[in-house]
Amino acid sequence: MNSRKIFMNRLIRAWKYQYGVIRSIADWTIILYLIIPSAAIFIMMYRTWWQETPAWIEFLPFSLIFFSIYLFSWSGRIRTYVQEADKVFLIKNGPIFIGMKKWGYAYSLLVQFFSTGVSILILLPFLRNHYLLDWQKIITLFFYFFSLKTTILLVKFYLRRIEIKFKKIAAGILLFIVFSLFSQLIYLLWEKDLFIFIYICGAILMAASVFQSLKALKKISSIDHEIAMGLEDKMKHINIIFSLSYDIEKPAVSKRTKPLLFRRSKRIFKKRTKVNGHTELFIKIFIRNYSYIFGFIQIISVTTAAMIIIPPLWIKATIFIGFLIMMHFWLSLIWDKITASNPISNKYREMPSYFSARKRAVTTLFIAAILILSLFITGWFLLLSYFGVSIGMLGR
Amino acid sequence: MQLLNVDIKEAGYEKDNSVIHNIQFNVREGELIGLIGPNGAGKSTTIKTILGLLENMKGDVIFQQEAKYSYIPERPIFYDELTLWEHLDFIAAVEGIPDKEYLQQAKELLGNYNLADHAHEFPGKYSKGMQQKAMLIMSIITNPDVYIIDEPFIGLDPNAMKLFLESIQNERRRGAGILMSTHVLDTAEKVCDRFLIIHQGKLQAAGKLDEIRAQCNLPNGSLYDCFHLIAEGKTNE
Repeated sequence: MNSRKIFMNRLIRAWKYQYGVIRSIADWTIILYLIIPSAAIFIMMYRTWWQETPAWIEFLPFSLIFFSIYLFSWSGRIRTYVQEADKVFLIKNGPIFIGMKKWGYAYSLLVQFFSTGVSILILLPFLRNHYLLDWQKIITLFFYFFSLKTTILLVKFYLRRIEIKFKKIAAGILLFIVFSLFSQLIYLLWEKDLFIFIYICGAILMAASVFQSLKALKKISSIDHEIAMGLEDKMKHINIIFSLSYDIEKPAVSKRTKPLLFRRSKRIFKKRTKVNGHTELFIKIFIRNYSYIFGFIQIISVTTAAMIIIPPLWIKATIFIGFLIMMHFWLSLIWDKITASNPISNKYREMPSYFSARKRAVTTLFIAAILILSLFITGWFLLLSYFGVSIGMLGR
Repeated sequence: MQLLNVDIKEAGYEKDNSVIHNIQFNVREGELIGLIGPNGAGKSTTIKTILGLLENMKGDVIFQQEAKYSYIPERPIFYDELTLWEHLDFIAAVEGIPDKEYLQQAKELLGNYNLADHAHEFPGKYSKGMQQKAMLIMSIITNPDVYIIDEPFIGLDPNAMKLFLESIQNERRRGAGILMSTHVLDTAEKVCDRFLIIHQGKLQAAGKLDEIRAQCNLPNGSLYDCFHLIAEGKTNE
């Protein structure tokens, strides 16, 4: 079997896997009542964009559109379709192994080519009819962002290898700023119709990135890194489903060996009682697992947005009551997940102290959620008042 | 004194599909019992049945009144978000162990097992051997009457193995009864008082080594010879 066949096999399997993940939430009712109508509405909307420029685009300067395409350029990653078992089998056959990785890289580039194209295509009605750009300007824009993407793919490939989280974030922010400044320079050239310079810059970026990427892919020592990247990519849809679902346990994989909060196992409660033992276990797990914190803030943020945007007072009250019920239910669910998921605490689930601690911890976080919601709404209210917008006017 | 009495008529993961049948034995104070059998024989199912993790079970598993047990699984299980010290802290709090007594014992155990420097780290990130030691410490700290240990020797280096065997000897002297499932037959032969050999979900032989030999008709055979005879149906020549 040659490298192309192995790559194609893996690619088809990856597609099937992602199809299975999507199908696991999108049964025929979801497809019929949600996905098909949404797609139809989008197509209709897109058609009307061509016929008549929507009013909201009037307020958007082109620089913002340019920046949003720049932001989009940071999506995607190199996939080499390397698997764990390759360490034992395929790695022995160097040319086939490297060949398969090269096919994977070519495919990653193709995906990015089309995704950049689609993003430009979606914006095309505005680019043509509102910003009045000619085809040469649009094609240059597409070329630059595709070449930038090839570089960002490589940059992300190296960023992913940095083990220390702080260093990784700092390097990521720095590179984001550097490429943003570079893109601003390109923007100035593009505005002045100096296309030749953009093509030269883009071609150099692309050629250097492809050359360096192929060189990096030849290294067998990066196999663990590539397996981890592939796994992250494979899990991306599952993680989206997890982050949107309240009733699925959200495991967070951290590389930390020591905790950031309550270092050296510092106790929350000085007094050691059974109730305090259960409560401390729950609170520490809750605050150290970012997926739980993310879920907590997500419910509060969505409620804040809904309460600010939707005007009638009675709907705001209904949303608030819905929030109270949902937050209490969600916190109770997370308690049960944390305590039942592990035999260490599961063993003590019949104890009276378990139930007392459950009530106390859920109530405490429930009150905290109400306080944070109040803070969020007040903050937004003050901010919007500053800009002369009163709550309730939005959404009209 | 009997600490645990097991009388499993049948048990399995699905209704009307039993995996183990007619397994009877008991664990007495200070006794170390080796639960032995080939892969898929039903050792883990037997342990799960004793722990009450199988719904489809006919029979009785009776712990002596007030007897506490500790289970050490083959694959160590921890909370990813808690340090080893916090695991111990939790167990001590819910078990109601006085703080002073617990702190002293925890420090002693962590020191003995060379984990004192790693106590404030996440045990989920330890090596396999360190995890095994951490699980053992978490069990010992509760001073249980019965230990149920599943394949303890996998991943332990020779020093850790020696330390582990010393620890269980100490616990036996304290009066704890131990049921230990293992494949390491030469070690089991040296340290266990009695053996339970399970094959195809049934208890094929039970008792002290001499009794097992008699049951297998191998008067000079080792535990391995007896195991081989039961598992493969032939003698090891």
